[in-house]
Amino acid sequence: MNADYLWDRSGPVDEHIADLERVLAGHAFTGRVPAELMREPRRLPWRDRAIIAAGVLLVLASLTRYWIVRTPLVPRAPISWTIASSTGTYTAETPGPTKSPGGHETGQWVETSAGASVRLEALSGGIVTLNADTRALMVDMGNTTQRLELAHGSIYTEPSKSDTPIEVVTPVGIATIAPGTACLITYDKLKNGSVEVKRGRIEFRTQGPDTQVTRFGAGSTATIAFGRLYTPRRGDASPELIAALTAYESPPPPGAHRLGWTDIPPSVLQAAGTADEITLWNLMHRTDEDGRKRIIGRARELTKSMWKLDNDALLRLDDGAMETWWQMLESR
Amino acid sequence: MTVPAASPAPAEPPSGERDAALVAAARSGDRGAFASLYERYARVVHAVLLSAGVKAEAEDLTQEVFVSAMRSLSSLKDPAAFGGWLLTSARNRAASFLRHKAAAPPLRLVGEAAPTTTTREGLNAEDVMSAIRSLPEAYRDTLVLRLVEGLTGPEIADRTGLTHGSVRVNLHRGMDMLRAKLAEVNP
Repeated sequence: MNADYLWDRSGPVDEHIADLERVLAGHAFTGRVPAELMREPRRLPWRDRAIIAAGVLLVLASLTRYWIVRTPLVPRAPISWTIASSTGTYTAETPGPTKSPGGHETGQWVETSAGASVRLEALSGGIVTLNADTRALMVDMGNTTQRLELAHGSIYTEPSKSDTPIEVVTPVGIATIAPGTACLITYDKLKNGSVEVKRGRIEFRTQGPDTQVTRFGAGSTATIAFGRLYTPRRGDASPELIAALTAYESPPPPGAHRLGWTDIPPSVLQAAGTADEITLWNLMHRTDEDGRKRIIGRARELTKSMWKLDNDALLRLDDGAMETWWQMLESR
Repeated sequence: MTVPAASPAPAEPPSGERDAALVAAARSGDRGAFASLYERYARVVHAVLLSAGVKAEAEDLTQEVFVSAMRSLSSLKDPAAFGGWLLTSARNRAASFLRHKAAAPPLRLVGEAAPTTTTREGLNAEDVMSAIRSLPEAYRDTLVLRLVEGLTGPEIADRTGLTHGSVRVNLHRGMDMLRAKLAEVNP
């Protein structure tokens, strides 16, 4: 066999291969490029394209006009809060010159009269009761946050199936009420009141450049006096601690730190027992570094597990360290 | 007969790049580019169909394979692999066709049979094709491209992506096996 001929038909002709080529030549491909492959893609003439484009524009314009006509110029009434039930008399009014013709919806001020109460339900399931002589604004925050503004009076939140916190804007700060919390917040027209938490957790944060944090756990309470939220304590705190805190906080000493009373007296720390960690935790936010050193020292005397916490982080009020301490005290 | 050692492949034109350029042009609507791809690969597709067992219908099926390829050209991920993609499509089409043909009743030809060409040993084309089809796929495809479609070894390597050495080996071993088969048919 002539290898060169087999490879590229070079060299002497190999008779046997040439014989096979001759016999098989009738099977070789002879087809031409199919016409379908060579046909140019069909294109519409310019006139037809212009007609189609005009039709599309007409449809779009019609849809836009329909949307404009159907969309009200006044935003729809928000539905974050609804008045579920009431006792006694109350008024509901829309801020501004336009009064709501009927129904009570988010965006309205609700004011209860003496002996009356109104039960509000949030879209997400939260339940708040406005007690007598209370004025509050139902604020629309969608279904992710339920917010009320408390001008004065008393509100009670009760545990519900909602897993969304309730925010209550008060003159002493914004209270974030955790789901499952039962609490009572009062604030009268003379700027006095109290916070009582039966179960759950509330955190108050003052507004402004220097935020002060005040946190309540189950069974804790605090007084509001002269528009100032005092340090939380257990509802059944010892008479010694109550007396020491009262002497310390009321009235504020001259030259007190504007966020609190910087110089924590030894009487308060000595009166605090092992069950008063909530008070110590909150005092940390109301004093300077020297005060915090003494608070931490007292907490270490009362609770051995305090060694788990980073001393320096606590001194600088590190959020993570303070949160860990809170979770430890809550679990005890 | 001894099989020549596979020599290193000479500098070949970058067929993958050439195919990629033609595919890109064809995708953008250049019918001339697709015609170039057709000219380049039609005989290879035809050879694959013949080799698989398709007979009289091979030319029609070749055109069908190309029409189908043109319609689905946008699904080809690597334009440089056009050749392999097309040949795979041809093999699938042949398998599908033969399955359906096996299920259908055979047609009987009516009329006078055309005169047939035979080898010096008296074998006609169908005898030789049957012998080729009985060979392993690599050998039969290469032999059909060489003996039927008339491509040279370098052209076969260029179209199929095989190295020159592989094509050389396929041709020589295929021819040896074909000779033995034909000797069995016509001792």
